[in-house]
Amino acid sequence: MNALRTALPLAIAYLRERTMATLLNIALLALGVGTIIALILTLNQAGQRMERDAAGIDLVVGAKGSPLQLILSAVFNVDIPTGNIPLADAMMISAEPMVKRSIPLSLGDSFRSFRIVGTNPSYLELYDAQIAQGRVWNKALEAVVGAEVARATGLTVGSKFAGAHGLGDGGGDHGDQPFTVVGVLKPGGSVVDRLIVTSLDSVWLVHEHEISAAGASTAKAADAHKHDENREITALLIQYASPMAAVAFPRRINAVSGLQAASPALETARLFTLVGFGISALKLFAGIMMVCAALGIFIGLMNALNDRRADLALLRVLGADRATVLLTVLIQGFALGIAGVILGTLLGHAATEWMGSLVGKIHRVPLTGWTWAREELWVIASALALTLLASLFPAWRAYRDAMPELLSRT
Amino acid sequence: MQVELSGLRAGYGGRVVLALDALSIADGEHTLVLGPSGCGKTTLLNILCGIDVPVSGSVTVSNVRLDTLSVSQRDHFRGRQIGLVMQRLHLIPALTVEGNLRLAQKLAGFKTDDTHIRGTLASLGIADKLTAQPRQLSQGEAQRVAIARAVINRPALILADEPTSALDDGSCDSAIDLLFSQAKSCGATLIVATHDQRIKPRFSRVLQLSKAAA
Repeated sequence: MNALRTALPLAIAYLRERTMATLLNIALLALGVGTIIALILTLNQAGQRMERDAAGIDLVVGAKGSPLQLILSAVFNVDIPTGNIPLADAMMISAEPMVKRSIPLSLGDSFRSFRIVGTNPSYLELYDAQIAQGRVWNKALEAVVGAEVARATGLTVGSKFAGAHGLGDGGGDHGDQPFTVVGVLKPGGSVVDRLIVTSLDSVWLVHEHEISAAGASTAKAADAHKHDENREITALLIQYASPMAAVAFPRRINAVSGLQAASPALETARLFTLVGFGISALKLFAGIMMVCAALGIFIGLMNALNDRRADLALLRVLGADRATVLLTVLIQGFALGIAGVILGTLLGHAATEWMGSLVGKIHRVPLTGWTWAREELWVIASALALTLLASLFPAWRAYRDAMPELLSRT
Repeated sequence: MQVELSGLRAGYGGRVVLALDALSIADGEHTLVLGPSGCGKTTLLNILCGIDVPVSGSVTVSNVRLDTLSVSQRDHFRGRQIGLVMQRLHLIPALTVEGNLRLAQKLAGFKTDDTHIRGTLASLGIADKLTAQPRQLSQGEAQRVAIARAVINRPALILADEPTSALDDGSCDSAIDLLFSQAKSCGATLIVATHDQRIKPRFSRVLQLSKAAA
């Protein structure tokens, strides 16, 4: 205890004496720790989101194109759709005995970059979305908005808004066919928070009008039957009746011209292997920074040992035992480690929050730094272990070499 | 008795550097150890403060048999009982004057006592240097701080190794004055090892060592 009382202020004085080297070591360690923590937080949140958003969806049927794009657009609502499929085909697939539940989706419009999804109420059930205010739509042009949409746009029950064509901002709007908000959803942590949900009819109505307006005023609603036959949806979310369906069912759909089936689980896995290389490279880079920081601490302590031979001898002359000398060096390394880890953890969370605010504005994908991940503890522990390892040898050298001498003898 | 040596043989690597069959120094009997370089003066101081142990013979300082203690017991003894003024003053550059003195108190296992630190600096005429860095001190000021560090724990024995050899005549006198007055105020016995003949008249007891002793 007395050794600690003596060694701690001395170690701090030594670190302050070499301000530049101390700051460099702390910065290097903090950058390494911060980078890894930011990666962990981002990946964890993305992974949890994807798992939540894809839960209960075994298969997505949509237009031919990239299967990854189909999943990204229909399940996670981040990419643009691959195209549309005939409603008739979707109805046939829904009637298959292997299909337990199927949910049609019709995408294409947005409001202030929040997507408007035409579907049926089972979409809300899929995500267990609860109504906070109002009710679910019961006729065309009524809409329910997610919690995040309500928060960001100020839409509440009774508000009217016009959807814009396209999924980003800046498309021409459908000002003459405004939606009425009839319900606001509770926040549920799923993709629905960021969606405006309405009936399929609403989406069709908005676009029918567009078509008929373009085709001049030739007999409005001339034949509703013809419309019905030509109706299209963007994608169909499917839940299997039995896991056995995964074997043959997608293959049968892919054989139909114009249709493709994609599995969220497979495509997400593929996405992670695609970005996995970049993530591994970043992690490696951050790891190298941490090792460099440890090396810097090692070299710094070894140099200091040579510069302070006289100090060590004096400490012994003044009555320090060798354990105190050992502790002085060890504390210097460990103090750098603790400072670097604290700074790095703050940096990692701040960087994640900052990225979240940037990404959130553009893609409406939530990412926050105000959260913890269990893996962070591993990063912190290994960074501390690394600095301790880096200080062990210098500390032992000091322990061994600290001989008391009356300095006139040299 | 402050110091009692008997049958002492000390040296390194089988070579005897110092041989003293008997030496007794009473409490308060300030002693000058005089001799040319290489005669074993520093070896004698090393043994008296427990840095080295003799090859044979017994060493008793302040009624403690140093030659029977372990290394860390001797470290502890030195921290509490011995004040050392070395030729190279060496204050720790990373610490202030106050920090250096506090360090000496902590290393001896005592509580830090800022009042005592200020009082000691004042008695040496350098009260204003409390928060100075060692590199800001003149040679004379640094020596006073080194003396303050040697007496800060009120040791029983003050050992000074060549404290005056680098000083001019005036500074030499005042350095010895300070050592005497500080030894008196903490009730310590002073032993000075030097080849500096100028201070010989100041001591009532002189121990002359020669190379022939080996």
